[in-house]
Amino acid sequence: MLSTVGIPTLLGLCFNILVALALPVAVLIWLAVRRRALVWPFLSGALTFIVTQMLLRVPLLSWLGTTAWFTAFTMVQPVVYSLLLGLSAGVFEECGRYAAMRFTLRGKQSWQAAVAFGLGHGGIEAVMVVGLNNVALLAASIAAPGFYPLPAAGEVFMAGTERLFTLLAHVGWSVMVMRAVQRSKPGWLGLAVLLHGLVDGLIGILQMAGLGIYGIEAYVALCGLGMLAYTIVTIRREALHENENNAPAETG
Amino acid sequence: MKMKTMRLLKRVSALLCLLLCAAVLAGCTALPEGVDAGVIEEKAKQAVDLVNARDFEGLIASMREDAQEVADPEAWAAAVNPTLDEAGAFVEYTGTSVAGQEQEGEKFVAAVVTAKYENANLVFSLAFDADSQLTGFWVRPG
Repeated sequence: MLSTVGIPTLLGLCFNILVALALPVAVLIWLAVRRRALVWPFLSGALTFIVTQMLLRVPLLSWLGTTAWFTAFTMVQPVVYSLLLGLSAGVFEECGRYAAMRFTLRGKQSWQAAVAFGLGHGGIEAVMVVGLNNVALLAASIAAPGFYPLPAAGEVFMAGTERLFTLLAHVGWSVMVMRAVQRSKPGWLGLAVLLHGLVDGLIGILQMAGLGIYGIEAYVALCGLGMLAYTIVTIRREALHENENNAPAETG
Repeated sequence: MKMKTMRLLKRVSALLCLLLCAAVLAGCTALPEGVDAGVIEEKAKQAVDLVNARDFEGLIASMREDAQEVADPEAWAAAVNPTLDEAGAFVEYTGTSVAGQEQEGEKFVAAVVTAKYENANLVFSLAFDADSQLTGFWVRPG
């Protein structure tokens, strides 16, 4: 029955579903049970992804793809196109994050909210880009093995792994944008846009340079870990700052 | 220190934006010397007309010699016919655009033709060399 779809490939699909569907749902349930105040920031992050990407950026890019001038531009300027594509993700998602944090998280702007926001944002992206697709692929692979051609098992695992590191990056960008909101310093928003744009834009350029899937995923992992380091450093500093500010109020 | 960092960030951001704009403006539409955009547009539409007539042998015959050698009319028909079947009858051309670029030392021209069909819009992308000879052809729903 499973002769045309190997067990490692099926395990890869299960891993992707675990990471890109079960994990975001589990985080949401955990927040609902243990940290109810962070449920709204999580949902706000998810909603921001749906609005800025699914309702705004993707339709805009789809429309541009139907125009002759833009298609010609993508053919003659693939590197600039890749950078613009990345930068557009940065502009839409980070500005959306900024607006959502400013207007939907009034009175709840904290680093904890930023982390929950990032988990919601990256979580829904994982669900929509990988999770649901992999559920369908797993069902199809079991019902009709070999009907849908799948890549090698190692490459299947990469989809879920990439989502994990992307989630870390989204948490980092959320913490960065929260800094812009809390301190009224748009420079942090600019930095988030720029970093998001560069991280996304360089993926296309590295592909053009001939880097294979494992090289690309290593690059994504590096970016995710970089953003994790930024998140940890910022949170430790913010927690220290909060403790200093809260101490007199609590004792007084 | 923080103010300095913010100022530096602003300057770096502005510089990157300027560089990006310069890159877009610099290489976007420069056609190779001697290439006429009007001629390319006309040739591109002629190629699309051949596709609409499902004359893939004619289309391949209009290409540069080395491109003809690797093109198989039957494979092209198998790849393109389902798209044409779904799109239905050709209605009209809706847009054309021509842009030039140099890649690995060879100058080429990209031409894009958009067209309306009964049930869909199609985007045709064509590549020409510096002598205005067709070297590549792609079609996708738009």
